[in-house]
Amino acid sequence: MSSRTKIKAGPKTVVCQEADLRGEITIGNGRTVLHPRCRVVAEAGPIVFGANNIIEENAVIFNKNTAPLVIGDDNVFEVGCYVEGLGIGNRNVIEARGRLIGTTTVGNNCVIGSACTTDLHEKMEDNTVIYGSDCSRRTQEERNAAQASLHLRHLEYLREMLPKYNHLKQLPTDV
Amino acid sequence: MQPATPFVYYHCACPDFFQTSGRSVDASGSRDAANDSSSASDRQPYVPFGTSIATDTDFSLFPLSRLYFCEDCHQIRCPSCVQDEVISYYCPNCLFEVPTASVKSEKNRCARNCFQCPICQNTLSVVANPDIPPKEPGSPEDETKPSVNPYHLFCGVCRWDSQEVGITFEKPTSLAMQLQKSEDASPDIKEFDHLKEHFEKFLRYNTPQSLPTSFLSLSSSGSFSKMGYNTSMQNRKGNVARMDDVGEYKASEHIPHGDMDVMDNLINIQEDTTVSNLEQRFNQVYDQPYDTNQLKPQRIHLRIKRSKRCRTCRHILIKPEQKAQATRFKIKLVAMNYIPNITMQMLPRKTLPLRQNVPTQLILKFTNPLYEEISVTLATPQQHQTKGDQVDAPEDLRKPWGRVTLLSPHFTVGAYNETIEYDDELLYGKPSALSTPAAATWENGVYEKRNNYTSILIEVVPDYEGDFKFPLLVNYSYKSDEDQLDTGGYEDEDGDDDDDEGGQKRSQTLERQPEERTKTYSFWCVVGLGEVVQ
Ligand SMILES: [Zn+2]
Ligand SMILES: [Zn+2]
Ligand SMILES: [Zn+2]
Ligand SMILES: [Zn+2]
Repeated sequence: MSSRTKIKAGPKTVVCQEADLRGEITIGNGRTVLHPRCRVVAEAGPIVFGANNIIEENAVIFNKNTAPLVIGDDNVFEVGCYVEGLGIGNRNVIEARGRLIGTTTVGNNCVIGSACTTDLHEKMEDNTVIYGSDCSRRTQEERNAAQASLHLRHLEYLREMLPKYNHLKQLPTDV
Repeated sequence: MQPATPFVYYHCACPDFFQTSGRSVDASGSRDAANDSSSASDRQPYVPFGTSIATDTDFSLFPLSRLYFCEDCHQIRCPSCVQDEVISYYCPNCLFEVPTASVKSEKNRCARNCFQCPICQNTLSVVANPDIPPKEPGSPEDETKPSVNPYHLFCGVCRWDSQEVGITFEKPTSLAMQLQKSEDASPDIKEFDHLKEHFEKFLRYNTPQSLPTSFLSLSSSGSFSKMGYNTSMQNRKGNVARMDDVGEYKASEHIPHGDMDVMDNLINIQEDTTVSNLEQRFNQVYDQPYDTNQLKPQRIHLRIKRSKRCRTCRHILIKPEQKAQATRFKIKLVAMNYIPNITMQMLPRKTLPLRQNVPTQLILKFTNPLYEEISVTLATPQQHQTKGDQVDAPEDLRKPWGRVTLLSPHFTVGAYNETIEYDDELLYGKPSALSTPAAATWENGVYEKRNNYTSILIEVVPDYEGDFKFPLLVNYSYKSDEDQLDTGGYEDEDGDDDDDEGGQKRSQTLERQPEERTKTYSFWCVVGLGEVVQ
């Protein structure tokens, strides 16, 4: 397994030592942050991240298809979430213990709420929010500039704080 | 049907019911210790809830955690034997205590900053739009509306945003005030005010002098009922005739009848996300819109803190701290601190479910919450005790629950003291280490006796399939060395909110008559052992 592990990451990527990365993983040229003890497993096919993603503790991103799992920019994968599926757009939030399963594809600016699950083969349109104990769906407003800047500040904070308390993984930076 | 889970329910003697119906069931009244010890084992005890124990429907059976204990009546009190009284009103979100007088005018909802999401009913938070333009540049709305309010409400769960329905705020405080205008403008509020105005004269005339203008200002339900009595008396005295003097009322608000439009809309609907669900509609009772865009944030409902009184002697059993932030109780007379707690345990290498006609031994564990050693006597309505001369009851007298043998109907349970919990952990870290009691104690039917608990063995032989449960009369007595301890109820040290509530009342047990040294009490309970299979 480890022999197959091949990671390419942009120079500004912060990957904590305890992050568990397996398989062929590409992280785009941006300020992506991988917390300790998150797991990114490209089992059957590669996983490709865009820029400025946050992957928190105990989040699992798993690709069991041979086709690459492409994940866009500015996504947040919160604590303990589980993600597979066929592709994720930009600016999405998978909240704590949210589950994105099966062959689901996700558009842009979607939210999978805490402990919510997508359908097995769902196509989440842009701005869809899944929330509550019944996994209800609704459409939220387009993200505004304030929220976008909040995400960037979040990233900046993590990039500053995480290295103070964690060892970082040295990755080949040849993207 | 789910398979029944084992349980121990305690019986409340419910004086309001059992005594008025002419059945004397004072099994739990305090008797003389001398009389009692001899009689309890001899006679066939009377089962207050009959022989077929309908635990699902019997209103006098409760788990221990739901019961109170009246120190003056020396009896268990169940939720229907206590009277609830409102202590204070508060908002569950901002924990503001609302003065009783303004509860009504604020319509039982928080009049500060607390709103619930119209979509998912979670609490909304106030969000500021930062200095940067709130919409992406190029959005035409910015130019047309330059004076956009900087604050709005936001739901962190479903991401609902009050800007969607055009609600924004100038400042982040007293939001309810800012929304007041739109609320006052709603037809139902207008109509209600109009109605109130119309009846005001009549109401004022009919109100007895003693009656305060706000019924809600009464905290004691006792005075409340007196009041109700007063009013009816007054009416009977001749004010009834004036009832008709109220002039005819004409509705001031006329809302166009839009049912056809609503129906047309619903017929043409493509997506169900734009239709409100029942819960959303019921949270906006006055117009109950079908369209989610018409749902508005609602102020959060106030909650109350209640005190509870014994209905028989009117002493207070539960009295919470008035402050909304405080979780402490000034008075907390819960049964758990007064009567032995009975739990069940399986013997090692035995499993449920029970088998029909197969004798099975089980452990009943009695835990003593009192600071005195108690001596316990058990009885079941149909028993064959090891020491008694009673033989097995004849076939026809056999109760539907089968046979229950108490191998140890008399035993003592040690006194409680605070250090016990530490001892347990330190000395006997592993529970398995102590589950091998001496063989001698086994013979007496006592499985284990330690600290403030005693585990005894019972043997059951179910006669029928189905749920197996049997009644158990628990009689316990103890010597109290503290003759005099006034009430224990009202010690009123403020501050110190985080001390142990449970242990707090344990020391102040009973004892108002110093002359009587040995206290004897008893109560019934029902022990359920789950399903019986063949
Ligand atoms: Zn009762
Ligand atoms: Zn409030
Ligand atoms: Zn909401
Ligand atoms: Zn009482």
